[in-house]
Amino acid sequence: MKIKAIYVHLPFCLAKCNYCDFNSYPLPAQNRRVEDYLACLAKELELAAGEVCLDEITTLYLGGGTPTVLTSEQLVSLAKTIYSYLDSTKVIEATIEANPGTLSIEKLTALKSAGFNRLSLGIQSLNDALLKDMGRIHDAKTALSAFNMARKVGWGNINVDLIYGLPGQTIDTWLDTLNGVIRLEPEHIAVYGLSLDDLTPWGSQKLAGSLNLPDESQALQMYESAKDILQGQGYIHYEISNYSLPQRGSQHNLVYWTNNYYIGIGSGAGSYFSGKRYYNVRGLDNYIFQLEKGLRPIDEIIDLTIEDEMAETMFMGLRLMEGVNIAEFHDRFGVSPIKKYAGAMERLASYDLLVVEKGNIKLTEKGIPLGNVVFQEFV
Amino acid sequence: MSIPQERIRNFCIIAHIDHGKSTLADRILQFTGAVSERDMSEQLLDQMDLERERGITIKLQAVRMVYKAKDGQEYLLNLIDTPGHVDFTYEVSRSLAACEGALLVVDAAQGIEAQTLANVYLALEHDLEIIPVINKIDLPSAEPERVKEEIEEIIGLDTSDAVLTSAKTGQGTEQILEAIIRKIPHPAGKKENPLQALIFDSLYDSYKGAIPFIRIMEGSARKGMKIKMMATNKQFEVNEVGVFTPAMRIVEELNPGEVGFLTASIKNVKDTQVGDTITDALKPAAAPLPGYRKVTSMVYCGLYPVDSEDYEDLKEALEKLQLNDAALKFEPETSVALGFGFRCGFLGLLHMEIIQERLEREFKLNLLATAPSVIYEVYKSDGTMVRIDNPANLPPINEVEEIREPFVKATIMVPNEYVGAVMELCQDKRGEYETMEYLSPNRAMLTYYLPLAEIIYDFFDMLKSRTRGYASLDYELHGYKGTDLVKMDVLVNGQIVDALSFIVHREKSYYRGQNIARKLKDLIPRHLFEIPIQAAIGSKVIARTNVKALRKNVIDKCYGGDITRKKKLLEKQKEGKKRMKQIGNVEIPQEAFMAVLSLDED
Repeated sequence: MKIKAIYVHLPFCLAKCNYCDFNSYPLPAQNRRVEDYLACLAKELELAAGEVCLDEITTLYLGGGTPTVLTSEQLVSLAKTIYSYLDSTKVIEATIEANPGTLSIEKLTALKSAGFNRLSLGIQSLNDALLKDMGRIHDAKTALSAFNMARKVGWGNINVDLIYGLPGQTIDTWLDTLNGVIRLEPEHIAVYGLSLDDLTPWGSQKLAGSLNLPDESQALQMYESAKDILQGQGYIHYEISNYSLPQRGSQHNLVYWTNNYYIGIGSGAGSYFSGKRYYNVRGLDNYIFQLEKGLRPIDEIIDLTIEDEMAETMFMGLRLMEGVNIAEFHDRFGVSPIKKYAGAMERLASYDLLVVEKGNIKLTEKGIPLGNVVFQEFV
Repeated sequence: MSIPQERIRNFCIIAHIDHGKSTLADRILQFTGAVSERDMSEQLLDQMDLERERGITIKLQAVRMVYKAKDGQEYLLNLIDTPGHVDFTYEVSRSLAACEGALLVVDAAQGIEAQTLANVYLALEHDLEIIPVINKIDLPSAEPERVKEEIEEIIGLDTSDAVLTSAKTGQGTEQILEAIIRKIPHPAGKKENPLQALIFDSLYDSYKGAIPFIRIMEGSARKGMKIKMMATNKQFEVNEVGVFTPAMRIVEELNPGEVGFLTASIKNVKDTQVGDTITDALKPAAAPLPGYRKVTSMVYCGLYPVDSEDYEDLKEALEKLQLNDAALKFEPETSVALGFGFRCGFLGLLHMEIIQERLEREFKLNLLATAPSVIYEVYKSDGTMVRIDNPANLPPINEVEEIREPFVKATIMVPNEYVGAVMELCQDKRGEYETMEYLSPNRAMLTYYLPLAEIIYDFFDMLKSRTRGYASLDYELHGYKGTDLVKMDVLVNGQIVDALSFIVHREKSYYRGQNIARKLKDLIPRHLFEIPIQAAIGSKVIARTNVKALRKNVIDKCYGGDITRKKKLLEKQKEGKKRMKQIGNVEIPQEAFMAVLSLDED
């Protein structure tokens, strides 16, 4: 299999949000490290290109952190470096993540001409009180105007990230946000339920019992109402948390979910190729230290067995509403998943969580919010 | 090295937990040079990891030392360690039988505690010479004179030459050794007599077989000799005899008064019964030595493998533990809910916890333990009586005339200001007041008759919390008494889970039923369907609650950077399930089976 996707990580943001457990550092404290880091990304790309083939890559994703806290010059230069290792004629999708509070007409124009054709906007909510509680740097008005700016400059493929299940959030405020976003007519909407790592500020408050989270049935109601409304507006629910207009699914993320090969560049980034998973060192200093010594910044290599790859193909693939294609699985591993996982499938089917339909194994409506119960059976 | 019998002293140390026994033992070992400064690891006698962690002695150990006394002579001292916890009275009794004297160690600030007192009485029963040692005199709160008075008052021991020590600083160690030599009689016994060796402990070694730890009372033991176990009549040939230095070291022979071990290719540990007498097969002794206080299992519980395929492993592990722990009893039993397992008898709750922990830790077993139970005497209407150690086996109530439960005589020592709280607690636990004595102007000793079932439920924890840890407790089995008991069944998803049944006094049944239902609700994870939980006496449901159905459990985000992390999360969830027992459609975690026991928080 060929490497189909490249991810580049920029671990900088303006300020950490209260729920964020990503590998990211507030920029004001790290400003002088940015140039060092960018130089290291170039070095890592150089090392990677010497070892693996990057010619068949079809998607690029620049994520973070908040990539757009960097200057237009920095980002354009980075894009140029990345593209110099790729066959740009093969790249069909190039996404950059952006925080609405970090965009300008100038930056949006520059990014577009640098080769990005998809914008992923972290709007999260259109309720100012909630945005403030989350520690976001923007308000609803900024979010809306950022979106409109992008459209004006000609971005034709925009994703909006939203979060439900926030402390203090009600069904009504959630529906307001959802409807507000639908009015923008983005091509893609990602709807995430809030999940909290213990080490985040909100996570520790949750542990202490001092966070006023919606209960499970409210969260479920938010999830279901989002699904109903979005589907009513022509959005296709194609992955547990992702909706898109027809043909606008994230090609990059589909590489992950179909368990194809990808390469990740930057601190903490993950790669999957040659039957192995690689995880880069986290932490700016570690990452820079390794590359300045001319070493690949790899922290962990996991040599997957066929069994592992099959399991991962199942639990990643089941995230997609169309599920895992039985024939494709068979072509790849030489065994039918129906046979391989007969016991698990029978159990799950008896609970009405899993179904085989048109040559695919997929979650049922009931199985979607209970995905982990299903995934567990395959790992 | 040959030291005549007149210069042998065998002794043990009696002390309450925390009164400094292990530290004192370490000082003695250092002083006599049995252990060099360099080899000294903290508290040498407590060899088991668990003992170190809990700071208690469970398994007794023996050490041999040579001490050059002030009179210029060398003396051979054998220190036999004793456990200090109420559960292990039996073990104490074993070490006492191998000694002529005992050091009674009392904390200079705290005074005598109930357990110390019980052990002193045991020692007196064995006619041991007792040397009072007042420890921790370096503490600012030390009151050695008051403690001396207490000892005289309560035990009636002369404390005029009590030794004042600080095991921490080493002060007084030499005086202790001198007192041992001066006051403890040397062992009696003649080398010419037929061998009589008391087995006070044993160890199983996979190469050498069962190794009895012995105290020679009469005669001698040496390599090549044919020996006979007087209880079983089995005969063996001695391969080697040795002593504890504290490491096991081979010697030529063991003579009267000496403490050591022998190996004789004894395959079956049952042939080295603790308390048995070893004699010379060719020249046997006329009678065995008197045994000592018999082991009584006070507490029973069911132990089941989570994975039924581990049954044989559990059996083997129990057998192995039994090799070195004669007090552990077990026999196979089956439970509708849990399948094949063992009903195990223990000396007490601590003993039970330790065995469970060792099974899990040393044998890597994944276990389910049912709530502990006492033995009930059930008198049936047909005039017969059955003894029930598992509530699930209670005969149908219409066949039951009367249920009797074991009562203990409990001795509680407590500072005056807590007397009221203790009496209230005893009352609440169905206790019957017997006496109260003042030990000193500010300490009292209360005696109550209490149902053993209440003691193993939460009595000790509550006693500690209501007296800020100042109370000490000792108890002994007193007898059986008929009380108004009922059997509580627990239904999970409409099905009786036999392993959750328990017997409870009628007056407390409503409260306990509510309590267990609530606890199970918190412990049983949510399933894909709602699970009703009920507590019932016969067909009458007295508590009911539901575990709500699980509706949302899904990883929302999964992209290229965290596939392995998310997979591990799923594996962890799956692993958690494996540790549960599937009963019908419901997976019940291990802790649920102990929920009957856990403390009431509110």
